[in-house]
Amino acid sequence: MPALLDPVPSWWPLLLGLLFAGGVAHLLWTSAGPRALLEEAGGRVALALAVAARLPHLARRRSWVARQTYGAAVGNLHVILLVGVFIGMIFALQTGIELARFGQQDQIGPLVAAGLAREMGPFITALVLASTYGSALAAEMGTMAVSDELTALEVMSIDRVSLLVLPRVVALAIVCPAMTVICDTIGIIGGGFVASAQLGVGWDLYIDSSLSALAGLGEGVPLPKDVFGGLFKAFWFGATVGVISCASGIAARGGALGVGRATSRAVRDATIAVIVANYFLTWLLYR
Amino acid sequence: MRTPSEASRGASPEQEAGDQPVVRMRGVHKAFGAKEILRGLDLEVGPGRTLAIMGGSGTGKSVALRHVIGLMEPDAGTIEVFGQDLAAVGPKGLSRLRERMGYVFQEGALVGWMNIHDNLALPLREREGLSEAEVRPRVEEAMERVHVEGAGAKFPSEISGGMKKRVGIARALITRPDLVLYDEPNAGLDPEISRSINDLIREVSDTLGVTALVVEHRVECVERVADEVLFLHEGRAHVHAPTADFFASQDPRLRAFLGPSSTAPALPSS
Repeated sequence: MPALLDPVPSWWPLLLGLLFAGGVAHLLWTSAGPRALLEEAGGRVALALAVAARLPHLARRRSWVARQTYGAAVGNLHVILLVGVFIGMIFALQTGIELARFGQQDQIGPLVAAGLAREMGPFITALVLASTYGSALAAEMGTMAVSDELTALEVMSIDRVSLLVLPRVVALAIVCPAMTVICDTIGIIGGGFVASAQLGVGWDLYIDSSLSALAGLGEGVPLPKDVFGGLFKAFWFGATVGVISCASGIAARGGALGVGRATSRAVRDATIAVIVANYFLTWLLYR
Repeated sequence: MRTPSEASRGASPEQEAGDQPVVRMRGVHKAFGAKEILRGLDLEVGPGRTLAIMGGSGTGKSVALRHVIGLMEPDAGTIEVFGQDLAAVGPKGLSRLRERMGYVFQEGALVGWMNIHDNLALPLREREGLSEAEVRPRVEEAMERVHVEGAGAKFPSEISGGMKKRVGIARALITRPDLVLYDEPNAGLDPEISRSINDLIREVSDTLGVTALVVEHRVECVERVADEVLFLHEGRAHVHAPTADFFASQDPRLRAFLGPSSTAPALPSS
């Protein structure tokens, strides 16, 4: 039987290196080459900076921000509710079965609550928004690009970033944390159903232990640390999904096929970006 | 047959009076990969004149138009608009020059999620920063000019192709530009609607006195709207002449393009 602190097997770094190299090679093979890849990444960073530079325009864009926020929130609320409740149920079932072997079912609540607030809530919400609203944004921008609407704005000397991108990115940066709160809440409730109905944990115990797990305030913030951490992540996830979706759409070329490719690329890249950002934000918040 | 420079020198009374051309392209080259589209294009358009650019598909008519408004940069050659070299003006200068231009796209290029009123109001709100009280009469005036009154609440998907073209023209004119560029204004339209669009372009030129560049391959449109015509062949201005002279030309390449039915037509005075 292996010891608890066995060193990492010597072949493990090699395997990781090969997997990473394989991933990069596949990315280069499926893209138009390293230069196009760098240009694409550079374009997205430039768009993010351009959005940041136009934040003072927000007061002028408030009605567009409100419309986009409403569209992103109302249009995807049912998805978040459904996904959130099942995530909580799965989480409770998976952890509960293991904990039950040690008679520790009373720890289901804290595990589900902390897991959802820290990780699963913002992460799942961002993925749902990337695949629903983000793909719609990319398709909308892509259609505008291939039908000369973006060019029309350019020749009219209208600031496209301020008019189109800023309200959408800001809306997603607002909606993602708001939906995360809903996802966390409904997920904890879903976990409670499983805990009480299938694992023999009292509802009151589950809820009390869940809430107490989230009670500790973070340093310098008026929110529990785990809740703040989750919302902080969700804010950046939302902004990331917004920028990548808009950038992919704006770069669309070649009619309907180009719009389809842009949409697919937006969801793929937003998913990757959220996962990578999740690691770094977690490191930043919990190091 | 005159050379392009002779044609433009002789065609415009304003130029004869010493006015500078509004648009001047000199030796413009443009290639996409190995395919060379423009191979030394020269053209001039004088103030208040309407120049139509004709030519076969893929000869670079729209490419030439996109160079004039700075959407493309030439590989070689110079482009001057309102006397300013586009290569030297920089992004802000280009933006200021574009404020004096209007561009009518083939399909209208109206913003799909805005209604017609908001599409027309867009440049006034965004660029000129006008209040709603100032915007409303300007939009109504523009809609009246292109005969689409009452369509303000409709979205682009709810109107016909002809109406989209009209609204596209209205949007190009609403900022009162000095130069309007039309990219195939008759593409995809039936003859009746085409005639009404041609009449509208002519009316705009006559009443507002704007300079216009029209990319078009339909003879009836060019006859109706143009003061002078340039035939683009193999990336160069093959023939450039006043409209009547252009259609009377016996240049074999031009005759092959126009076909037998377009021999020296009786032109309406414009």
